[in-house]
Amino acid sequence: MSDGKSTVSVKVSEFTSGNVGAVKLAQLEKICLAIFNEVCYNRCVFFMNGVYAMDLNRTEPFKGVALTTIIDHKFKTSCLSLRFISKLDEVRSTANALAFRIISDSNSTFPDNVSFSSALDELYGASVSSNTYKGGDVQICSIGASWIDNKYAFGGEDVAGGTLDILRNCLLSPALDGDGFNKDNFRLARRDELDDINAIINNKRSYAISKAHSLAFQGEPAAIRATIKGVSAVTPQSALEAFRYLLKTARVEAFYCSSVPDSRIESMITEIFSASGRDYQDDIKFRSKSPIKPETAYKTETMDIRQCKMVMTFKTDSDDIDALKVLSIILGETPVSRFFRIIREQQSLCYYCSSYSDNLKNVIVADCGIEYENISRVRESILSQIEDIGSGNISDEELENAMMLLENSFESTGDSPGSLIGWYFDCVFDQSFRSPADAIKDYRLVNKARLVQMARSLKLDSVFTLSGKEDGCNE
Amino acid sequence: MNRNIIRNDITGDKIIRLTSPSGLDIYVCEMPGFSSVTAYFAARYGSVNTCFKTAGDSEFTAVPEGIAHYLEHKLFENEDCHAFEKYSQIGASGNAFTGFDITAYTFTCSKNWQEALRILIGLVQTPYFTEENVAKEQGIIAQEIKMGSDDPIRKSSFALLEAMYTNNPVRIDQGGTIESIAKITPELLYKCYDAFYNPGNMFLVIAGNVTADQVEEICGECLAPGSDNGLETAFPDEPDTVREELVRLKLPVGNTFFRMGFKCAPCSGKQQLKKNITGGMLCDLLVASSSGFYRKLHGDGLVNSTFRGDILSGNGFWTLTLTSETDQPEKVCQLILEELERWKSQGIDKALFSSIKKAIYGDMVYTLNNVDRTASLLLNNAFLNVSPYEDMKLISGLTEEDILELAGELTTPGRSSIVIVEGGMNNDNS
Repeated sequence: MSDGKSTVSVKVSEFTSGNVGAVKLAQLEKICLAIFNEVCYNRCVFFMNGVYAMDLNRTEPFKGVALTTIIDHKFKTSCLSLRFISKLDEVRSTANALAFRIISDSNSTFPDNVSFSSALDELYGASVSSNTYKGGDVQICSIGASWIDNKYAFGGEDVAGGTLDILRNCLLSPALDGDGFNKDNFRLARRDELDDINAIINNKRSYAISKAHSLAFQGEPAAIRATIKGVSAVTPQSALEAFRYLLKTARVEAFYCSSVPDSRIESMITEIFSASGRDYQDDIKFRSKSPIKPETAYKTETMDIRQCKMVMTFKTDSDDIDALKVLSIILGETPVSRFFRIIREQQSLCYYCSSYSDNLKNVIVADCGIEYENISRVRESILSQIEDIGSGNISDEELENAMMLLENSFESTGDSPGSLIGWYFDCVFDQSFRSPADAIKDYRLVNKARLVQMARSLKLDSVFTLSGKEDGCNE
Repeated sequence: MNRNIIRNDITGDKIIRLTSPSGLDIYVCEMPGFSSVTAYFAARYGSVNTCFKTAGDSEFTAVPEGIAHYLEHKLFENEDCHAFEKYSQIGASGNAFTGFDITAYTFTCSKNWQEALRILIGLVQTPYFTEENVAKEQGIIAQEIKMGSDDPIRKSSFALLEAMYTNNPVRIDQGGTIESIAKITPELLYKCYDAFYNPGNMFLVIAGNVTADQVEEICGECLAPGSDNGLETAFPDEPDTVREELVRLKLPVGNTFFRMGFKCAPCSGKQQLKKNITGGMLCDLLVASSSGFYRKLHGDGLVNSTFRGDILSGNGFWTLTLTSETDQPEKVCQLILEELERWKSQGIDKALFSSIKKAIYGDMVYTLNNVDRTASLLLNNAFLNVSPYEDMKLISGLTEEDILELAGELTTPGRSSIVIVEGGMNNDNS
């Protein structure tokens, strides 16, 4: 990774409006991507159909703080997102989540939710929001703002400036009471967090997946989740301390995506992190393979429901994460995948049966909604599909379908600021800065032999089942 | 095809409206610079259309509940393969949904959109129902119905509609029941298809990396001819007042919550759009984070961040629903009614009204910056036969009187129902 000091830029303005031959374009993309990978892409320009499409620029103004700017003229709106990456930790992660709830709802200028939201409404519904989630064994706390471009403000307001001021104050000058967050804001945020924890049970499918994760990653940081007890123990002071600690120590990835460059962004990032006393240790482990249990673990819970949920977690020792993704698509990510085609359409055993892969933990997860009496049949069907691929039975058509799906999905990455930011943030976790076009090339190299190897390497680690009380299951 | 251009002078966007010789309206939004394409091919046909006749019928036919949704599932299959397979071969993603008064088939892709459009038109125009494939679908849809019944939000939504409506089929789940779908036959499916999947009762919208010329060429080549089939639908009489004022449910949920529904006079076309926008604004005045009413309830611990409002409107129904998790549902519902009464005597918060209008306008700019959202906007407004940009005009013209008129309708005695869902179910996160 770059220390942020090197500067490489590519002058490509002569191509921006003319027709560029395909070969020339490919060469240019190659040069850009080489720069992108090797010196942490200071500036790259991308094209679509030979026409200027996007300008990508990345700097690292502080150790562990990077700013990626994406300029694409087609957008009518802009956004700035700051993502704080830290190791998952039972106590600190809970306080982080509460802190981000608070700072995205108030600041010292607008110290309560009503004045804060009113100010944003006045800026044509600009938004400031936060999100906290897990990725492998790390926690990601993000805060960001989104606004319409100034040219669409019929009153001639500086919407961008107004929104950036609000976001800046959220991070630099939150609403405080002494040495902690404002007590009232803290009380409301904590109550909402507790209500959210209680409400996890409402969506049976996601509840079952969350319990399956806890079973699969038992003893690992990835199994840490917010609890009533943990949230209740956080104070306004400990939440503020956790927030300041993140500003000082977290790996930070900031993204600005807009149709227009804005020098205020860089100044704001500099201001925020100059004041934080940065002390960043480069010890975040983005990918942490989950150890495979010697014996498959089974757990069943009962609830007053009519449809059972079953979640099967498969783990692998292989590092071939592109093959892991393609295998998951062939198994269960689309309506022509095997689980849908065979288990739902041919065997009529369920309404849904799908899969997804997590390359940070090297797992494929299969989940389905089924009748209690069909649990064994569905489990055997899922296992037999993996076994079938492991024995080499993969058609050219299903491999090509998976590639086409990826190509279509990657090509639309540039259609929204959110998906662009999502793409380049994932690159941080992959520690490989590849463009969507290059990712497609890499996936095209996944062949049947790699898929067979991947399928053979999968081991059933754990099975979580949520069944109806009348089904007679015991805990 | 006839061609009209509809312009948005504020944002500079435009929509091209094509009308095919068979009467099908096609709305195209060309979005240069974007890679993806989203399209919908829709019929004005949904779960409430359970009684109908066409010019060739002497009497109305009543069909089983859930048949529109069943038909949607079955249209994906034709004689030689499943439409999903065709989409998959070109990398497109296909899907469909059935609402109360609409069924829409959709695809998204970023390559081969021309072929995807041909597949979309082909699948909707080529029904293939047999005893065998109709029977096979029953197990799948029964599972879908069971999954829905485990969803407390869905279950409470229908409990509310059931409490509000006495006869209108909006009170029945779009999927029907396990018993009603058992009565569906290939003959009934063909009868519904012939009645409702007629070009005059349908429309097509497409947005993204497309040109109107190419869309016109493909539609000209693929669309089947059609003529007016004299479709008539019948609905039972529905009283103005609700059927039941309070319903209590016990479900496996983490927090107790309520749904409070207001039953209002239905309308159609531009009036329906205006009433929907007015209703949305009224909800925001109560539930938005910038609302003083929300702040008071939230601060007093009476509601949490799930407090929200929704409008549901269609053929013969119009409802406004407010919902939140709370330990004191009756008290919150009472406070909502008192707040609406207070507006009638003291007026609404004018500054809030004005800033929410700006926020709604801003949201429209976001919509026009996104292929999927633009396609959804075209779909919703084409369904109502109004311009895709009508929303912006209506928002700017919205007045306090519009809000107060609707508040008056909501507070008319006998127009509201409450569903309270009690849980008390603890998960082991403690």
